[in-house]
Amino acid sequence: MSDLQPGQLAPELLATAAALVLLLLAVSRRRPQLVMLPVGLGSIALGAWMVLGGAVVPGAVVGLLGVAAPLLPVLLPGRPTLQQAWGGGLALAGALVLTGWQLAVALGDGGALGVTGWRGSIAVDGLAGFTRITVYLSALLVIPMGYGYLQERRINRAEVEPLILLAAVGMALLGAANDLVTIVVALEVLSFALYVLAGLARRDRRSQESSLKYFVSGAVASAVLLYGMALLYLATGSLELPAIGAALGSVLVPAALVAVALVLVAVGVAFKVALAPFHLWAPDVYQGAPTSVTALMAAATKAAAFALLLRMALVAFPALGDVWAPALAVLAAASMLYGAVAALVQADLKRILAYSSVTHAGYAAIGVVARSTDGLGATMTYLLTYAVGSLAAFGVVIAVERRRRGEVTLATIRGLGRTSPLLAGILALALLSLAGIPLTAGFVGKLEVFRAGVAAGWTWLVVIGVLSSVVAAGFYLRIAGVMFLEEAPDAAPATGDADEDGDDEDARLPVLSTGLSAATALSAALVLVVGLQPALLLELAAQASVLVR
Amino acid sequence: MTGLDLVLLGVGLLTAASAVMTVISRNLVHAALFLAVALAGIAGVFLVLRADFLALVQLVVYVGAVAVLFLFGLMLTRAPIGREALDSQHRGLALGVSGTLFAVLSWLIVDAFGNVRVEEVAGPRIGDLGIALFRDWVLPFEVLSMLLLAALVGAIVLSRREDGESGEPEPVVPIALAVDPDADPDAAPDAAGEVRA
Repeated sequence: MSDLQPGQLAPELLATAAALVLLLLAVSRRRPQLVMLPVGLGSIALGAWMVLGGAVVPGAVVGLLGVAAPLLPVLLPGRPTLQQAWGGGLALAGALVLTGWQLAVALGDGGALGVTGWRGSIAVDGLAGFTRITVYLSALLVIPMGYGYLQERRINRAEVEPLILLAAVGMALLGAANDLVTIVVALEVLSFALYVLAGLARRDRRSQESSLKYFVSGAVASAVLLYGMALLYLATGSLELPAIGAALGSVLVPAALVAVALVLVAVGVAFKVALAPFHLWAPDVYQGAPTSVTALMAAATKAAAFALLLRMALVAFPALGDVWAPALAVLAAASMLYGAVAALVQADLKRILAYSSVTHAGYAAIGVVARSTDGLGATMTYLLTYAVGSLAAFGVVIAVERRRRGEVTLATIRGLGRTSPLLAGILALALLSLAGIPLTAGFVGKLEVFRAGVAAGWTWLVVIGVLSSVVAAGFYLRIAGVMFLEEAPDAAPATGDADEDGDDEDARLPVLSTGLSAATALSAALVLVVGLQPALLLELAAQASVLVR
Repeated sequence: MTGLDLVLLGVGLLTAASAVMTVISRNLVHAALFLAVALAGIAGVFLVLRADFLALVQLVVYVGAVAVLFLFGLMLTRAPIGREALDSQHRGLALGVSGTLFAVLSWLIVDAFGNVRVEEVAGPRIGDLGIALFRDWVLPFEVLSMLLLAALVGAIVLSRREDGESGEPEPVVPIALAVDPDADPDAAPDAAGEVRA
């Protein structure tokens, strides 16, 4: 077993350090350089030392961030929240670069993908790397998307970016966690940060309701999961997933104990990924939370929770595959059908997207049920494509919400295709991707998952998946039809002209600040690029389908 | 049945009884105090089983910190603590669920370990615990500090008085000590909201 290697957790260390620096920056409101100058100088020195030590890329990232730190208050004087947003965004971009560097080193000559680190606490493998990419990319896009929106709702507190960073670190760690203790701790870090973020809008009852429901259901799910893990430890005498997997393969473990442990763990994880009978919290929570937080939950949390599901299923419980696979298949089928049908009767766009996230949890679970290397790669690909598609959709929802100052329902976006064709086009593209229409990212993910499912012999499940896609395409097309075919309502309920860069020539045009439009356009571009050129992503997924067992 | 068994039985019954009282008592403060007794009872169980260190940790963390935090939370948030306090009216359902869970789990433990003869073991030395914690489990231990950080920041976010953000203070609305429910709600919505919250 290798010794402790900080390099294996480089992206997480960077993001954590950034969260601490941003908190200090928030405390030192009047004199930001008191914090930023020492931090910058220290980072530059550390970066130089790392470069001299041979670690060029991470050293360069740390050094550049060190240069950026004291520049932030200089370039953006008197705008603390904007400094926070830029700081958080730069740190996440750095974490993304570090993740790419780690994967490149591991996949290149002489590298190793699939080793354990920190005395078995984390696994440095493809699943961890892919989860990091999805999580950091989502968080990076969510910050600029949410900046103006939170600012207008007057809830852009100095703690938002540190909490987003902490949530992202928790999610990335969950993707890498290789023993039960690390899993629980990482899960709680991300959950705590998200509970608070969901309740940011303290005067909005829906936001409070969302936060409370998320907290209560999340705490219950954690308790159930924890009890299952305790029983698992009782049965196998180990906390490390590979050792648990090996112990469960032997005949000496008490069967009833393992069965109950499996059920409890499965229920807890199903809560976290919002599979069908355990999804009841999702619509209310998604609807009430500030929209940028909802986007983070949908895109990043789903990826992290699925990483947990994949690792538990394939590393800890492979010996019981014949038991859990049919059960999980039933859950997946129920999610796909129920989510699609329930979304048909919703009017609120955020609720529709919430039910669609339940559906997508079902699709992604097909890759888990397949129990194969292909299935692993397919689920990872699917989660990434779902993340970019849903981020683009939520970006447009934020844009519309900012103009209307209220909920975004089907009635609100009526005629959006005429008043602002670009925005409507991006939403349509995102919905097409979520529906899995060819030439978009969603198609690539769905095709991979279905292919893995058929290859593993789960034809009935894939048939249900196709069926559910057709139903889901119905409500996505309904949204597109409302936008493009119907006339905009005459009396545009536009109120308030205090938007930062809104020229009120046409009051019905949604507000687009630079950050929001850039992030939304980037997500939409990613949807297109992955849809048109899937080879790169699929190649990466195929090479990264490595699990530490 | 040795004397130790009797003590274990007694402590266990005390713990179970106060746990039940925690759930059925109608006064929140009483419930919190019963909870403290139940947690202390668990420490007693540990003590009888010769896990001294665990018993002490249980006392310090749960009775000393968690239970007291409950009481502080009740006082500081001025939560309704009287007889009319929150009750979700699902007694039968709750009894059914928890009863089933109890039956399943106790059957499970008896089924798995009923015939196993447990030898008396000397608990691990505290030094070994420390080495395990700071060498083998150092990563989760360090990440726990992030968990605390997130919780602290979250508590600040949720409890700090809201003033506008990024340095522009919102107009301060004086808090009326007694809000007339029939008063014009539009006159001072902020004040009313502040008092209700």
